[in-house]
Amino acid sequence: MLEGSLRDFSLDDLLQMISLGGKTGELHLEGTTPFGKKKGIIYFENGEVKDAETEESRGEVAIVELLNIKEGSFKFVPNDTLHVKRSINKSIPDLVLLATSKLDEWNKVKSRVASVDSVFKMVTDEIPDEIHLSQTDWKVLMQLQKGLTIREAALKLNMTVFDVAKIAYGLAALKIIKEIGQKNPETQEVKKKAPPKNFIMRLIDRIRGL
Amino acid sequence: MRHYKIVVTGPFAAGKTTFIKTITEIAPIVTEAKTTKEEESIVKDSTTVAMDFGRITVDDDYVLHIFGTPGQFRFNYMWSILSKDALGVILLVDSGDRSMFDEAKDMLNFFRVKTDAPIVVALNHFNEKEHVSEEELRKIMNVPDSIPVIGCNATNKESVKQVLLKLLELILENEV
Repeated sequence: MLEGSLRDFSLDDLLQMISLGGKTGELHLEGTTPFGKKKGIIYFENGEVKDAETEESRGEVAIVELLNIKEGSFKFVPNDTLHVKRSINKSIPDLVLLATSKLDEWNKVKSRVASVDSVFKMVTDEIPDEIHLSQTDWKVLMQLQKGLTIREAALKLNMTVFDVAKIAYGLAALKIIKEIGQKNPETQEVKKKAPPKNFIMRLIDRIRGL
Repeated sequence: MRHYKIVVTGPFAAGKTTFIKTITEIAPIVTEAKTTKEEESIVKDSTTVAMDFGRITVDDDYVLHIFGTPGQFRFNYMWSILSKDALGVILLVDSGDRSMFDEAKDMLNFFRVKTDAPIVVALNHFNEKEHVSEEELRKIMNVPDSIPVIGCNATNKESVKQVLLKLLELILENEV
């Protein structure tokens, strides 16, 4: 068994080692990703990824989330994985590329959805005359309109946080919803979105110069 | 371009429209109508019925909108609308008009309940009137220590700037 911190041993190094060594077993990962805290297992067979699971997802969705863990811990347990059904047929480099592209998408989403704990409100005064929303968009909109966070809506709808965040991004771009703050998952308290500090500083300079 | 807003409120004839006219960079948008109540028409010919609007452009990214509310309680539905999502509130009180202090106190309580945004009470000194001091007003209106009471002259740009800067200081403190 190999166990440690991702600070000392990067995920890339681990994957390379398991792949080149043709290892079979379970890689347990736990840590923070841009999509929130994640915990899950990647199953390997002869150095190839066979399946992955997190608390909320399975397969490619799960591995994309797990490969984006930047800080956290790992544990590799050499184990028979015969009982695991193969759900992933991509090579490790392809999976890493997929995870990177998801991260790029997430960074774009972050321009309108700051966090998985973001809370929104419907903006009714700027809705264009005609909007076409899919059934899934509607479901997400209904949950967000109730005051649920991205994470809570994803759990309720059995979707990934990433997919809910992407839909929220689209709804915010259409000015149907607007982020109003972030909810503390432990206290459930919503911290209202503050104006950027640099705006206030720039406004102070501007007023002084008037 | 993102915009944020500040609300200027206060009782009838406190100087809200003047305050905004003094600082705005654009010709202010005012929604004034002829005063119909006898006691109001003695004070001034027209009054704000919906809102006043001024603007300060910060740079290419940000702009500040300044909304002035109507003063009379019968227009209080506009107070709620205008204070929604406001960064802060300036409550303007005419230092020489003691008859409006009770109303100002009610307005202060209204905005304290309606919004979490910081509030500054600005005591507008019209030069020729006998006026109360900031400390007297704090006692009369029972203003808590967390809300600054500062003197100003709504016709003087430097004075209006000081009120806005005080409010922005509070907003910054609130963020920490």
